[in-house]
Amino acid sequence: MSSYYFSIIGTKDNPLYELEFSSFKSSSPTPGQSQFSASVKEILPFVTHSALDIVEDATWSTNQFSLGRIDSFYGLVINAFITQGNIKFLLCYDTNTSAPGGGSGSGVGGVGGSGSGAGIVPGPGSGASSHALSSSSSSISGSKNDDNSIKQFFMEVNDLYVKCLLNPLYAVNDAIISPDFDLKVKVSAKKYL
Amino acid sequence: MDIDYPSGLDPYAARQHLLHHTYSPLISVQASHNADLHIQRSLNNSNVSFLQFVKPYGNNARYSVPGQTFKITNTQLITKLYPSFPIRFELSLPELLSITRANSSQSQSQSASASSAKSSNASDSTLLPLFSISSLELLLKHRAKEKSEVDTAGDLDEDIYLNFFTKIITSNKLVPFETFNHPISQVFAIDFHNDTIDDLRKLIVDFRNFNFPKFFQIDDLLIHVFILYDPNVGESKDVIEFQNNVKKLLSVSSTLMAIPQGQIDLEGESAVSVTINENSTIEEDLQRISLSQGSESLKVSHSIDLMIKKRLYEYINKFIIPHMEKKIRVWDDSVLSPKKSITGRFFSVSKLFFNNNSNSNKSSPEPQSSSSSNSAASSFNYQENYYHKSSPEQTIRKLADWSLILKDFKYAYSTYDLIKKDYTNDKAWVYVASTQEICIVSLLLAQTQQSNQNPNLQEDSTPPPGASQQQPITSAVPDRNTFRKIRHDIIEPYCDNLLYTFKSRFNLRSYGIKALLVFVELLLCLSMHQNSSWWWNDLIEKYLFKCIDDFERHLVNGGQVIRALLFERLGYSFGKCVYLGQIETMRLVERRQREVKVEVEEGMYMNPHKIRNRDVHFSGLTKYKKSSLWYLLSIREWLELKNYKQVGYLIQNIQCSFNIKELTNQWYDRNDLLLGFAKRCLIEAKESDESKVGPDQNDQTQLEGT
Repeated sequence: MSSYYFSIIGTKDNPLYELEFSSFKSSSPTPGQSQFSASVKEILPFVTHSALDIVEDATWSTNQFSLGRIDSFYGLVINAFITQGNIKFLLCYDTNTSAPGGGSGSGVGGVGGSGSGAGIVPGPGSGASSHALSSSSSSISGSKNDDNSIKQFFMEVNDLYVKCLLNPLYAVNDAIISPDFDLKVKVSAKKYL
Repeated sequence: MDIDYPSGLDPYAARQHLLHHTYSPLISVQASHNADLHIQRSLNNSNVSFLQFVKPYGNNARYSVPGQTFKITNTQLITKLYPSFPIRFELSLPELLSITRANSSQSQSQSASASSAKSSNASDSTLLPLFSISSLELLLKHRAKEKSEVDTAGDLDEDIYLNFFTKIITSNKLVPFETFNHPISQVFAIDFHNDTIDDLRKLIVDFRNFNFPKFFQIDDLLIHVFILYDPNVGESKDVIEFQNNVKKLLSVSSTLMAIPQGQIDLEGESAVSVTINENSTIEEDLQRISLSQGSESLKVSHSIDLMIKKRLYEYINKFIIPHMEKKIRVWDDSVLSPKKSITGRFFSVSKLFFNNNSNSNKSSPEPQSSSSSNSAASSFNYQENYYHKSSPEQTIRKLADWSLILKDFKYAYSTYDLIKKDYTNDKAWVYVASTQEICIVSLLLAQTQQSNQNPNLQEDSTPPPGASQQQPITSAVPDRNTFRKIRHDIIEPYCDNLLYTFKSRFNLRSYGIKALLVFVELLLCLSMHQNSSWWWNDLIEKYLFKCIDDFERHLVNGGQVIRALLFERLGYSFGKCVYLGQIETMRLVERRQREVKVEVEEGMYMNPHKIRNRDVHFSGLTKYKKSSLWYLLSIREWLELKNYKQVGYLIQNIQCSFNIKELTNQWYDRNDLLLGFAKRCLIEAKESDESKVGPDQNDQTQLEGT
């Protein structure tokens, strides 16, 4: 099952809101709890941060708010959405199970780490294959579905964010700590992902 | 301000190392016992051989004669001058071969799959890996540890990635399909006082009678003699007479080396220390470490140092370069031109069309005797994977290799391109792969040849002022179509093909790794030279990933140091991927590194909470954040190896993205994130260092004082 890491990045590349969760569709002992290993967790914000380079590049070439799948990193895929106020939504998720047999290397990413506990280590074949921009053509339909639902999710979060922004006590680039916002994001995550 | 961000190995330095350590003439040296003794007495060191002594001096970029120039004339009779022309001194050919043989028999006895019926001769032909990946990891671990212990702050000369790269490209394995490690000259070193002409004759005869592999052409060797003598003993007249006799009786050219013996104070000011691990392979280094021969340098008196540099300069200029030029011209006339001519083409075509029947079972292993080389059938030996030494295929390959050594990259490229078709027709796959590799290399070398821009780098192709300004491709940036052609028609397909051959057909992973790393460095050169990183960045990334993948698969425990180094290189390549001109880049780096302080005019009010303008004109044109991620991953590996010095060095390379000077309240310094963790580790290490090293240093200074 896929695990997701969602973050809202402010204009100074600072995260405003972070959420880790997993797909609610699959059956697991604790639905909704992310399955990232510790070694992945400690770099997840950096992975999303690094994707900002690509987001910035992509903003010049499209007039869409949803940028779709923009980057990937060792079996982690990153989808992005940019708001009118230059706030970025980034969703980082692992493709281990959602895209079975993606590419030649069977995509068993090193998430979970190799023996040395070194963390995100390229598992056999994951490196190059997951990095190729046109990876896993075999699961196009699946990923398209995914992309659509992620887009829907982003739209809904955008609504929530705008509502949050309307709050006179909230300033741009402040961390979003409202429990209400958190709950609503989780609900839409459950709905779409 | 210099745009030296991120800091790391300059790809041009890597390119230069490539030319010095791989694509340079290999000279095999055989010294008589007396010559070894002579050297030992002169250097007051009983552990040194003549070869060990002379080996470092082969790198004449490092040990240079003042004002040296090497004049090379190419086949178009254009002469260029080069400031250095390094050569590699190695063991004599029979010894090199015996090492290879020992290795191959070892690996065969290890692998039970080796067919027992193979004769010892056949075992030569099984292709061995270029280097052992686990040994490499071991060596690098040792080096990294050594480096972290030795306290040389800010010593970036010994970049560990450079170390890694040099070890990968340095090899002395004799293989049929490339001739860079086929010696160009065989040198016999004898002692004038104790060896006679008959001894020398015996050495030469023994050498000539050695059973060389069938792909190695001994006729191309330049036989040369170094005559060592003590200028303080006997008269110089005798030595010259001896030299004349050598010339007359054996018709071998020779060089005199005056090496005085004894009574030299090597501790004094006049001593020069020479590092002995120049050009050493991984195995040699490991052996040296395990035998713990502590000193990595050799003390040589100033006069001997100067003398040997002069003599070698003379030897290269007077003998090696003319020999190579002559051979290249002969081969060009006798082998290459007929092939290029209309009739030659017609013959090769007719061979292709009309000989199919007799050769229809080509793919099946069918040993062919060398005598068939002139017949219409291909002279390729399918069982042992080589062309016979006298076949035109082998000669042309050698011709191209030698012209690459003489830095005529374009000519080499066209020759490789020509011969590649023949290899493909013969299904000589390992030759095809190696030729494809060298095609890419020679193309990239030609594209990255620099004009006189960076004098302190001593670029290989830099003509000194006053030389004929026949510049190859210089700052003129090729247009998009050229790049597209280079990338899509040459680099990508060739690379895929050669990796397939090396990995799947021959199980020679290490050759593939070497090729990939060389491509990466040359592509980095290309993207820096022509400011075209957007063309190459993803390719570099892809190749580095393939390397990481290959190393991972090979090492069970996942070579941590190697991985860290490759991550570092990824970070470097992304950091250099800037889609801006130089001036903008400079401004950008300046701006990022300094805290942008907005000056408020007097009497004006500035709202500190106002959102500032982001530097929009740079946004999306750099990849510093990506680069930082890779550096962080590399840092993580080094943290696990507890090498805080390397961590401290690498962390400098992420300062464009993060504040690294202190622990802040920013998100990235959180306790549960990698950077925060690394920073805390560094601070801890520093504190413990200070508390520990403090008294030690005091001790040291006290010792020095006494």
